Amino acid sequence: MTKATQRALNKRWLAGAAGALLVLLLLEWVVRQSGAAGAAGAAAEVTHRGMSGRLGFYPLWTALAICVGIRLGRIVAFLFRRKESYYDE
Amino acid sequence: MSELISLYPIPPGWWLIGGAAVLCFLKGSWRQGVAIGLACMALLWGWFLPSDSSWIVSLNHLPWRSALGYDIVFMQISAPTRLFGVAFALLTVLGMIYAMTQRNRWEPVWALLYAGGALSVIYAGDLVTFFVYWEGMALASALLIFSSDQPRSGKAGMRYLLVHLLGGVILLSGICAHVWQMHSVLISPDPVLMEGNPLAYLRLLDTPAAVLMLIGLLINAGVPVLTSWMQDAYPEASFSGAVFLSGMTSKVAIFALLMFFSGADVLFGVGALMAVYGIVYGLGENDLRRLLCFSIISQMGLMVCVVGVGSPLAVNAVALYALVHILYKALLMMTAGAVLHSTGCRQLSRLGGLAQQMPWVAAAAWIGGLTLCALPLTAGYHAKNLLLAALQSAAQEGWYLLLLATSALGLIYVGFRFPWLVFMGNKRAGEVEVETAPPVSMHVAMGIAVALLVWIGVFPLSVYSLLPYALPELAHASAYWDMGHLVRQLQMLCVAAVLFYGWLPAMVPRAGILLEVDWLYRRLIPRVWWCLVMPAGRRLWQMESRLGQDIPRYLKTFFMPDRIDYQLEGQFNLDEKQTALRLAVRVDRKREWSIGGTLLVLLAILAVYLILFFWRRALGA
Repeated sequence: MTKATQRALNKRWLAGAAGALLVLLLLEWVVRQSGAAGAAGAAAEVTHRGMSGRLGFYPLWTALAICVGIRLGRIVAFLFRRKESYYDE
Repeated sequence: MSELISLYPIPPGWWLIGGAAVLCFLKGSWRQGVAIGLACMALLWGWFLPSDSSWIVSLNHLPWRSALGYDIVFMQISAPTRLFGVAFALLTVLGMIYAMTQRNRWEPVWALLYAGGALSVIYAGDLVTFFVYWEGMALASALLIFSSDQPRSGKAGMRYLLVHLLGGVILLSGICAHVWQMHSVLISPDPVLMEGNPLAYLRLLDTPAAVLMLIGLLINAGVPVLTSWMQDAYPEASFSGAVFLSGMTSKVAIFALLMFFSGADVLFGVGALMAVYGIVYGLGENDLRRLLCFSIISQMGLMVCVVGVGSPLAVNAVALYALVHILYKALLMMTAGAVLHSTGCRQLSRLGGLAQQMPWVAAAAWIGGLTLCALPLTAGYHAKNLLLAALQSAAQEGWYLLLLATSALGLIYVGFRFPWLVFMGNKRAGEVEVETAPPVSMHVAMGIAVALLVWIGVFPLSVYSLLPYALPELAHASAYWDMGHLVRQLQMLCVAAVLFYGWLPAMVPRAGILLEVDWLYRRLIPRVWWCLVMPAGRRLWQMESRLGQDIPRYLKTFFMPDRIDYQLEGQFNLDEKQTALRLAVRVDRKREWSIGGTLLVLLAILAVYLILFFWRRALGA
């Protein structure tokens, strides 16, 4: 696989994921408008709090959580990483 | 079969424990075949066991009842027992199929003992039986680690054993305190029940018994502050041994937490700590199997947190998640074991691009990873939704959001990262090659696990009958499928995939290990021991040896001056430095203390003891 092909694939991948995200955001808006999520009957009332709850914008929260988590992971790795033979010395 | 089982309601684990003894005398393919047959037997036995089965051995008629005083309940079926039992038996079947090419003849024996212990713990109806199997399970799992061919397995197994023995002692102390306080060893079959449950007070954590028992259980659950045994020992097991280990010890601890501490508020914080700790460490981990161990800790954190809710819905959610977690973690461990078996390498920084040589293993790893990501149409989707719903139903919004965030991170650090770094992309540095292809038995075991995960994902109602509590609101498909959950989960997956791909270069960990709490007993304490304690000990030993020479002589001169001829070596010189340590004069012994004299003294002591004993008894009468 050439570098040009790789780059094209990367662009397609990112474009596809971004497009899917947009579709899902649109779907969320539709679900919220129609109230379909909360109207699935008594059964859904018990297990379902997600979309009709207070928290929304899951993509945003997810991105924030991932950024914070990765930063924390890097700090821990920076502080506590040692060479593999550390305990064998 | 149900009639036969109802006639002899023995715990399913006994098939495995008894079978382990038989396995010692078998060789070759017979050993593997019998092991698989026994695991299937335990699965069927647990499946067909009637819900009201019990086996109580009454000790009331024995003359020493006042000493023992409690009935032993070898078997009872508690609310979550059936689901956990099916999960453990399934794991045993999968592990035995996966380990068919294992050449170590003792590993199947220890694995069967381990699985038998785990299965027997969850069927135990009293604390004595529970503890005996609990410790037996710890010992068998340590032997499983010892039997590994990995170079560091011996030391890791010893550390594992010591930590678990410590946990066992703490748990036993708690059980003794509980029995002393409540005069009961019974375990209530309904963990949510408050009235008539002798263990209900434990969740308040206001007694030493409750605190000690909780610490003992949390050590087995792998709570990071208490211990790091899981990521220390599991990666050192053999390629097949880790499959058994990944699903039993920690899940038995979850079962025990459900039975004893369902509804304890402290578990919210403990679970959140585990979830965050596992993820933060997992992000920087380079070892393939240590990464999966951190994932276990993180997912265990979700379950521990929901145990704190204490409602029937929460018990159902934790039990279902435990089943699904056992299956997909076993699947991931199997893929990691296949990579280790084929390449001999565990470092993520050296692996990559193996999908071409191991396409089926790569597919299994992706399905395992996406199940962890709670992708719709996999079992993880329903299990995680139920878990989060149980937490939210208890109005624990803060913990809910934290665990939602850790779930989002889990998508990246294991769900995508593990299969991508191992099987996709280009080979890193070209260091690792596939030397031997994974055998068919490995593919079969992974295929069964994949089929089960997808089956539960597509037909979630198929496990409804196994749930601990029959909640009518969970008996409909709409409880598992709703548009809101579906959209939320797909959004999270999309964002995680985009971010993962964008930060792909940063996802490759650097070589090395991450220090943890076990640094205290692996590095700090040995250093303090050799640099401070031992030199001080040598100094004290020198002093003590002088005292050791002098004290007996001093005693002899005190008690038997007439039997020893001693000669003074001149006057005491109190100005000398070491004179202060000398308690006796230096003498030349001429006669030893005879055997007859020793016997006489011993008889005198015993006579005094007997007189005191009968005197006390007479006063009591």
